[in-house]
Amino acid sequence: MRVRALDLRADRVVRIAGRRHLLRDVTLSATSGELVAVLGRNGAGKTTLLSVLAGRQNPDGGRVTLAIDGRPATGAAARAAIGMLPHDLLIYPDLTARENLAFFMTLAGRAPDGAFVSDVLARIGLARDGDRPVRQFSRGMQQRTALGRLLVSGADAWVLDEPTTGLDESGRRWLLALLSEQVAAGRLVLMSSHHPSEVAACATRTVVLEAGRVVLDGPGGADGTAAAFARMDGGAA
Amino acid sequence: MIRAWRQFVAIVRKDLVVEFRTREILLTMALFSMLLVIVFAFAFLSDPTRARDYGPGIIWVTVLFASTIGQNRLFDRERENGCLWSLLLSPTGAGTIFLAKATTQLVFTLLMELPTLLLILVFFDLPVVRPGAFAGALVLGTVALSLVGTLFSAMLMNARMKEVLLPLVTYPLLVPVVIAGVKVTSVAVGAPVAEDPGTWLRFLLGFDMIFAVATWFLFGRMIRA
Repeated sequence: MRVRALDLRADRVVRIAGRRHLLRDVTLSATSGELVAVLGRNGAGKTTLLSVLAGRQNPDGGRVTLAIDGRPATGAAARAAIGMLPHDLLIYPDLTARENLAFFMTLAGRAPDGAFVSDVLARIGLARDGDRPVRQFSRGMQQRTALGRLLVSGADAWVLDEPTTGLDESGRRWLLALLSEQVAAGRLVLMSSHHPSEVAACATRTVVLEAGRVVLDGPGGADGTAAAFARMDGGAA
Repeated sequence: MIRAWRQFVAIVRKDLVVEFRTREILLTMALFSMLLVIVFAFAFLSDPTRARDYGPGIIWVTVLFASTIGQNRLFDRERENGCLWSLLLSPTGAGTIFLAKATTQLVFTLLMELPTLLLILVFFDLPVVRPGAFAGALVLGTVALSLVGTLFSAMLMNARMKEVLLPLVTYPLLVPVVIAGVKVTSVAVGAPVAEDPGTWLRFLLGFDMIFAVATWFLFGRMIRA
């Protein structure tokens, strides 16, 4: 399945909860083939920004636009293009991992394909546990199932909120390799993280949020990550 | 169209698989309805000669109350793990989600009605002299309960007093359905009433058609908001 070229833009996005500004005039653009690490201290607005970009929350000001292969996309086309993995995993605990993946494949508008689902189960390391209800899984296994949901959906962009939560060390390495592979295949990945090693390993770009504002939009890699975390530490001081 | 049909079937199948695995909703609905029938039996069996008069009312009150239990739980599984978002963030249309959830509720209610009706007919010794009208009223009435219940169940999903609010909101809307259902059922069990069941069945059909469009439209607006 061909990965389409996406251009996701946030233009002066504002998000307010009660009297508190969660996002203040956030302007950001991201395109296919990038892995943008969204960084910031607790409460900086990372989850809110990712939710707004994925369409889970509507901005109270400004706008988010998406172009697929150069054409503006809204509604079902936009939802099909972006897959999100938030803290709540969006998988059904009473279904097996296999049933979950088959279900989400159909929801994404793809024809059900048992062989493909089996391949994905093997890729996420759940080949032997695929027929167990997700409720019986550890947090890490549930996280893998949720990542499998993105793989079967065929989304062109992945929006991940702290995706290594619950994963053991080998699981982290596996996930970072998977993300790098997806970016190499042309996918756009936006993820939040608190771990410099994860960001340095795979991010092509770093964005630092502070009190709902973008205070740094810089490169990824070891140097860029170090600069981003130094900026965060500076903000904390 | 094929894609929407597949998504519809997938959601209904998912709900049925989860229900047959956990048996939470159906079992509760069936047990509650049987309990109601037993209470009604103790209350009314002192005068069995009038069973045809109050039997239809007992049937519809039982169906209404028991279906409310299912409506209250209909979206509970979508709340766990934030699963409703997996539906809303997918390319599946809100209308497809609504129709699938309403169909699930319809199936649950019809499954609950089978043993309940059998129990009522036996307990109260009610003859079904017009089975077509009887079945027609039940199916059309249950469709109405499912459509209205699904809409408000979604609307009140995150409300703190959902269990109390749902009947308060839906029952006023469903009173005409219950009245029509009782009228047709009265004729169907041979009660001495001068009603034309065709008129009431057409009313139920019209109610279903209007509310199918209205609830489908409102659900799309409401759920994304």
